[in-house]
Amino acid sequence: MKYYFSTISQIVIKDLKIELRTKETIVPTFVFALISICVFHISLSFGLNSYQKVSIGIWILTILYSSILIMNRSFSREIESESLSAILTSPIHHDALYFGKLSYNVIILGLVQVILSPIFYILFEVNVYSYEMLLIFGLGTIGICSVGTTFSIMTAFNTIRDVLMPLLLIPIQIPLIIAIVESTNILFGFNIGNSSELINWILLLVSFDAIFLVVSPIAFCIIVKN
Amino acid sequence: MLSKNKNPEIKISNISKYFNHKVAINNLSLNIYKGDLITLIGPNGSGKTTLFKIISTILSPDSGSLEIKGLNAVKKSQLLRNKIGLTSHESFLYKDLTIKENLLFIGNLFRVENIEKRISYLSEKFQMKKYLDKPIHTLSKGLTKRATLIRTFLHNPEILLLDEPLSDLDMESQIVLIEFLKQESSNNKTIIISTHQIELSIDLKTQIAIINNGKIINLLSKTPSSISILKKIYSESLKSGVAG
Repeated sequence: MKYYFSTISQIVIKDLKIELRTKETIVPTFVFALISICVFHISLSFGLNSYQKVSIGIWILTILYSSILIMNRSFSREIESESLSAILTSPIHHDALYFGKLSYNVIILGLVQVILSPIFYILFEVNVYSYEMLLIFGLGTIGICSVGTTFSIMTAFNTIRDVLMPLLLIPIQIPLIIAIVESTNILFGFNIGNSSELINWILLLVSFDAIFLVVSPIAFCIIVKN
Repeated sequence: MLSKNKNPEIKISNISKYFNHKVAINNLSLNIYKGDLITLIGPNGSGKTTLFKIISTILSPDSGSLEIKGLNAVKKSQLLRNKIGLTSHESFLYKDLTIKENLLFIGNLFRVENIEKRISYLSEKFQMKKYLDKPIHTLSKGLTKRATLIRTFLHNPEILLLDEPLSDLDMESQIVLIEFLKQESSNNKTIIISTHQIELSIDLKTQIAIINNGKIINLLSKTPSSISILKKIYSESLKSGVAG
């Protein structure tokens, strides 16, 4: 077990070290996310008195597409540098590779959200700094990445992976997106709902994460083996 | 394969592998015993690299069975990977990490004990000590190949699969590698080398397996006395077509 967790941490540290040197994922992703929310802000400023009701949708859309950029890079980098086989020929559990990559994706996507949130707050006047929001977006980030990490190995060998990834990823994430939107709408008072409804939506997020944290590594191992 | 009466270290029985309905390995069978030193020679696209990927458990055969150390290599691949070292056409190294960072990463995955000592020993052997802190993308092809060889030998594998180990190496490095392989062979390691440089099999006095169209078409248990004889046997084997 100690070896299993040490393998996961070795993979995360290695990927973060490479990212720190190349910045080839975080910089383009952050720039993309920034441009997206600025474009939304400019385009919506002519038709709406208040951005708040659409702000969470904008945030989710931006984060969802940013996550695709991040996860597309996580395995294509291994394949471009011909180093995936180094891991595959080592005596590690393939699901340790999955959880290593998942952790890395969650860290990078989390980091993008942390950097982006003050800008979002200024532009859309939505306070995302609360424990409830942290919980909802934390669960959302894990959910997005748990599915996406498996799809990223599936599409990594494909030349049209940039197109394939959103086509595969977004439909599966619809329950997750609904749960985030509904729970945040209750939190901001846009939807009439009480705290028990909020808990139900959060439970849906937890269930989504739990299911895909079990199913995704199994699917991942099958894909890697084949 | 040769004279041995023990169980084979690697038992390949009627394996086939297809890529897009095209056969890469065609019903191939081969027994390799502990301590064997074999050179695999054959034209481009004959199936050498695919065979290496199957033995190293990166690929699974579509049919047939592969046993390594008496274990089913498909089912017990994780257990066996610690015992196999593979050098391929690819370096298997991260270009943005230094040689040492790469070796520490791989060494930790393989649970290598005294990893610093092992890196120091191998880097001295392959004259790479002064390059250890250089990122892979700054190295020449030859230096990258030496780093790749160190990575292969890092976990002291019992079975060595070396696909074109001499390519990109200068003369001095080739001599170092040949001496190292002789030393490993004397330590009863099983070594399989795939190469187009057939003189290597003469230098190392290896057994020779000639592969074509995914099949072993000739198996020489004794090294021919000269390159010209080997070349003659090689071309005659290819002309005579597929054996079994």
